[in-house]
Amino acid sequence: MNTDKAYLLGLIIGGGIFGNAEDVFKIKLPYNKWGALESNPQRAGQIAGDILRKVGQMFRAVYGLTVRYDALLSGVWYIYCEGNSATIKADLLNYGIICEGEIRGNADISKLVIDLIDDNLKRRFIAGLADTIGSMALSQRRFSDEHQILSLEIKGYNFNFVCDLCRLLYSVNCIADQVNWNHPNIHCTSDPYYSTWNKGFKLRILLDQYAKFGAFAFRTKAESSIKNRRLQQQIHCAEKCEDREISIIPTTVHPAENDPRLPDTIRGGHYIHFRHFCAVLGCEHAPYRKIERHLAKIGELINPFPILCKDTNDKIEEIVKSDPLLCNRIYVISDISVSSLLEVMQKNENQKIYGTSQVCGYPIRKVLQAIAYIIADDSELSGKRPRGGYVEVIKKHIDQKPDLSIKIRQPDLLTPLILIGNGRGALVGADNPKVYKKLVSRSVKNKYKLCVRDITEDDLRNA
Amino acid sequence: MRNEVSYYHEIQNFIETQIISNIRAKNRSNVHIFWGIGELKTNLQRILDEHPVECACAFSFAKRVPPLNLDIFALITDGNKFELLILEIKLVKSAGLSEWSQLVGYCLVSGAKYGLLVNIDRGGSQRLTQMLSTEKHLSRIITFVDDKQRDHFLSFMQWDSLTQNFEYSNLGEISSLSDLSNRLISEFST
Repeated sequence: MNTDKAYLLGLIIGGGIFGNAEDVFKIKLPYNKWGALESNPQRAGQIAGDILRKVGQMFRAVYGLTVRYDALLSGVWYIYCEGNSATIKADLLNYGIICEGEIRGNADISKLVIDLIDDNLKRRFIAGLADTIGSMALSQRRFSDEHQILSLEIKGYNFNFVCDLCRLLYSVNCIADQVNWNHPNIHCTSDPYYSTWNKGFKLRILLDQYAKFGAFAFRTKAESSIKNRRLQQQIHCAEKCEDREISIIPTTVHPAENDPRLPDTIRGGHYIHFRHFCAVLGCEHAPYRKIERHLAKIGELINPFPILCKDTNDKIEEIVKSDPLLCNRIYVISDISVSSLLEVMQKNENQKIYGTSQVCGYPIRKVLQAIAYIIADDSELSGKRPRGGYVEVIKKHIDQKPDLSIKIRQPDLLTPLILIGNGRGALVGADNPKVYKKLVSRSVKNKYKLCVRDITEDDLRNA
Repeated sequence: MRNEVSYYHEIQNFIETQIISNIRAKNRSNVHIFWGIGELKTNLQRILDEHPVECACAFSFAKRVPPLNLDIFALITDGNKFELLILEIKLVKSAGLSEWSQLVGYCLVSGAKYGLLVNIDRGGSQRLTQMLSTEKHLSRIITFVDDKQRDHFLSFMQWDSLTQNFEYSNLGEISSLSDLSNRLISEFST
């Protein structure tokens, strides 16, 4: 290991793709819009310069390889490294990294990290990763421009890689602000019927923190970092994972928790927060006590039904038909005044309706979100999301039609409420903490891993 | 507008960090780097006064070396042996043959084994690039002084003040800072 190799290995692990050819491999730079020639020709020119001057010269100096590039219209760049790659493959193999296909999909960097024996070597390696997979697109900000983020974006299901990388970053003070694990409990928290949950990992670091302790070799990346940070009014510091408070909102139990692509450690578990994954993966920085405290009230934090599922009328009917627990119910169909429901929420936004106690029942906010989706005109929706907020949409429609009502099917047990209208439909799951708690057990192999069994009619009847 | 001297510290700091990391990565920890900015002889004497134990091996060299006005130099030693690295820092549109000649002169006069010509945020002239690519003897110089062979390894690199990193040119005998580190490591293991 040396400082130049550390950077190049970071680049290769971030974007390296090896095929059958012995004398060439490529590094994918998934810059997308940020690096697209059409949207920013000046930056594209600088990226080309960075590739040739920084990467090209270093590959030549260290491994005797020559470099050329290819830029796609989509903003994806490929660096082709040509020449005898035997040494570089041997270096990677020495760390247990086999040069087949896309490296970061399967790479285990635990051995390599051991050889990054000081902060400088770590930073060089991290710089290689940041130059390939570090996104500073403006959309990466947290809530507003005030918190700019560097997001390391990783495809695949390599949880250990992300965990090792996060620890490495922590060790040089680039503490993750948030880790979006590639898991349905992160990417799909309320609709178990939403199947495209696998949006990849995002390891998000406050840009101020990264600028202070991390590094870029690409000028284009360094310039973007400066530009984005100028949008902030203040400098922000990251809090340590152990110290940071965690707030948890309920998540739905998703069938893809058992997806065979997930690693054994993760598969079959339900996760209540991104830091819950850290605990299950055994990270020394995970806030174990805080997680444990939340697990004590697990019934409030999970839902075996959709928390809110919005779709077409037909699709909702299909979902109900396909689930015996839902289709075998007796439903009372009522026409409910929308303004009366809005009044309920205005009095208490945590109110449950049609429930059996103060904590059991359908959360009024979710019911109103479903209603907003159903009553909205097509132009008022962005995908399935009401533009300008659900309350605004509802108020606008009540203004136009004060006696506006909606058909609600209320089941005899606390299975989801069904709302249908306007060619659209929605399911709203009930809060039912005592019953839901009974569904959860701890894995015998890992005490932080939660296993949730299917809910039955008996569970609901005997509540 | 920054002048050339204002970059000395960051460049020196970066090179030291890289060399130290690379030496540590090879399980060597007893190598010290001492820096001097400006005149060689006076600064060498200062370093020796401040670190007499580590730099004892450079004592007679410091006595006989002529006064020489340099940008930056580093005395790198493991206590038994030492090597001299000279940095000639430029902030010019393109570094050319005159800047290269200056570095060559400093290395020959001082006996420094390693020399880097560093241009800040800019590259080398076309002529320098061409000559260093084809005329290898311009960056790998051997001299005989009192029948003793002296080797000089020189190179040209670019300092990127934005990323605080070097941009290699592959012009000259030292291809990278890791290459320089490897040469030093092998020097001190013999």
